[in-house]
Amino acid sequence: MAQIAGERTAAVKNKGLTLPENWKKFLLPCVVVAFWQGITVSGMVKPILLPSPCQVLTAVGVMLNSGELVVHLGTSIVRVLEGFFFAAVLGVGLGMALGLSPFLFDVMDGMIQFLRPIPPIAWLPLSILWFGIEEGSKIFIIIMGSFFPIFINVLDGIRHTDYRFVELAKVLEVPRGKFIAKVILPGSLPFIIAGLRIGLGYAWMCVLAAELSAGMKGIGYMLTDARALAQTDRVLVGMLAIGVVGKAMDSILRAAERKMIRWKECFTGV
Amino acid sequence: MLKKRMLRRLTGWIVLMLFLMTVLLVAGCGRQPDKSDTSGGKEIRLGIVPLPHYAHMWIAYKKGFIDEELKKIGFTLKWQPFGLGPMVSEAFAAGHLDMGVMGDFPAFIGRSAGTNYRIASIASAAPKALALVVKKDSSITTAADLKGKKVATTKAAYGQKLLTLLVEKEGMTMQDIQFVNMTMSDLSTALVRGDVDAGVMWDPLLTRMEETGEIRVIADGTGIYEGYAVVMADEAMLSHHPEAVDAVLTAFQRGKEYLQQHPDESIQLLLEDMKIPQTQLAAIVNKFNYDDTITGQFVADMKDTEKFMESNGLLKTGVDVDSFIFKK
Repeated sequence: MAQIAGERTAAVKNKGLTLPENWKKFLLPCVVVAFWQGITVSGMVKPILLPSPCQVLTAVGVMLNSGELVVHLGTSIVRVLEGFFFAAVLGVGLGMALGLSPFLFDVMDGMIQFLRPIPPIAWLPLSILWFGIEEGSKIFIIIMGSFFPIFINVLDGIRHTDYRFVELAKVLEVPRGKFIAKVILPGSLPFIIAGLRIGLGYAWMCVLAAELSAGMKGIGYMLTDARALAQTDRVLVGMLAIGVVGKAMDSILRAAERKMIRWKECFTGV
Repeated sequence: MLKKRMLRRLTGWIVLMLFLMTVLLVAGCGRQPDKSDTSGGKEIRLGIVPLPHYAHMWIAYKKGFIDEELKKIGFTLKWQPFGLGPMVSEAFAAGHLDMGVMGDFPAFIGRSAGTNYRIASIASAAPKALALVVKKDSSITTAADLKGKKVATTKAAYGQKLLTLLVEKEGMTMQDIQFVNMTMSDLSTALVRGDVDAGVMWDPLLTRMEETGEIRVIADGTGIYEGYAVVMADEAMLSHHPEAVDAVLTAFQRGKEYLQQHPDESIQLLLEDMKIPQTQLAAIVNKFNYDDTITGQFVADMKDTEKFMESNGLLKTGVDVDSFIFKK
């Protein structure tokens, strides 16, 4: 096992050239960027349809220099974190409550499942009517988008708790608090983390939808503005920025998952 | 050994994927616009928006005038409705349209970004179809009262120009107000809720909101800004088939004449696509001038718009208005 791990992390030497340890991660992005650069310099596509990677990089530089990118991205990150926090508290809390109480499940599940298929963007007109054009409506849309995946996963996680442990706890008459802390929570933690990761992804999608409506700040506004002004390079910068920040946030959650769920062995291919 | 085989397989997949992407891309880029011959003729693809700004064009379409005019020169029509003017501009950029309609703002933005089209004629002008409005019980009575107030309209649309002109007329700049970018549908909600103090709104929303008694007009474009919509034509179509562009424009003017001679029937014809109550639609259509004559005043106004857009950072590069407007 250790040998395999050692092989996987060892530097790859090839005819005297030493490649970075995780060179395979960069293979496809490099090929895609090279291909992208190739078709743009060949003149096959107009810059309005697809600017070259160099043009996009230049736009990144300009937008970083002017502070525009930081302001828009910072505004959106704050919104995502706020909305995600509320969605996580609600999702985990309600998921736990409904998972542990058959009465609450019978009362609330029907309504929640009815609301679940409604796309978050469909709430936009109502959210503006109820919460106005400022932060309230945007946070509401993010909550509507990220709550359901968290809630469903928490509920599923509780259902997947090993029944042998549940029975054992019953036999031993473990107090309810301890039962939740020692049996339910550890058993459903992988599902909770999975739900949080999916919910965070949805939060990013929803912040874009929420920022399309009104305001002058946020990455969604930046994308709409760039589209209205036919500035495709800025559109791509916005998309790349969302991808980078979204990936970074997901990596943080994955790192937290590894710390919290040490017992979990994952299949990583053959 | 196993690892090497896996790597080879992965590389194989990547190469295959790239090959497929290249084939698809080259096929897509190399594809000529769909001007395929239909029954021995050629096709003209026209992008249109269901708005009163283009009422005479919809009538020309519904009454078959466009088909009649195009038939004379062996062309057929592909009528492609879009939700918003800027989408028509995007379709032009993608090479999917030969003619289309939009506001003067998206037309300039597209040209500045490299879209190869030109203004073939005026679609309509209506200074009364866009206005600075406030909630009915607002204390704002003139544009001078906007100082420090939250004022909304859609950025990079012609409402931005009217707002700027009205503010500047009062000796202020846009820095003296709190500008908020907003779509028209959200503006109506924000005004009614009191989230913004004022906004620049245009038809059909303007008339609809006025009729419900929710808003009050402070000033419209009369004497300040004409509020033009324009007909765009692809450079290739103008160079190779100007007669087709002419035929469509002739049909539009036939539509205009029909609208003037048969107003009631015309409104009935428009109802299906415009989705505006009959009385409101009649009132809105009456605000518009559908004369397509390119006058010296129009050219001067376009130069002014170009200057405005460039100085407000709405254009990537300047646009030479004289060559942008097609002259026979």
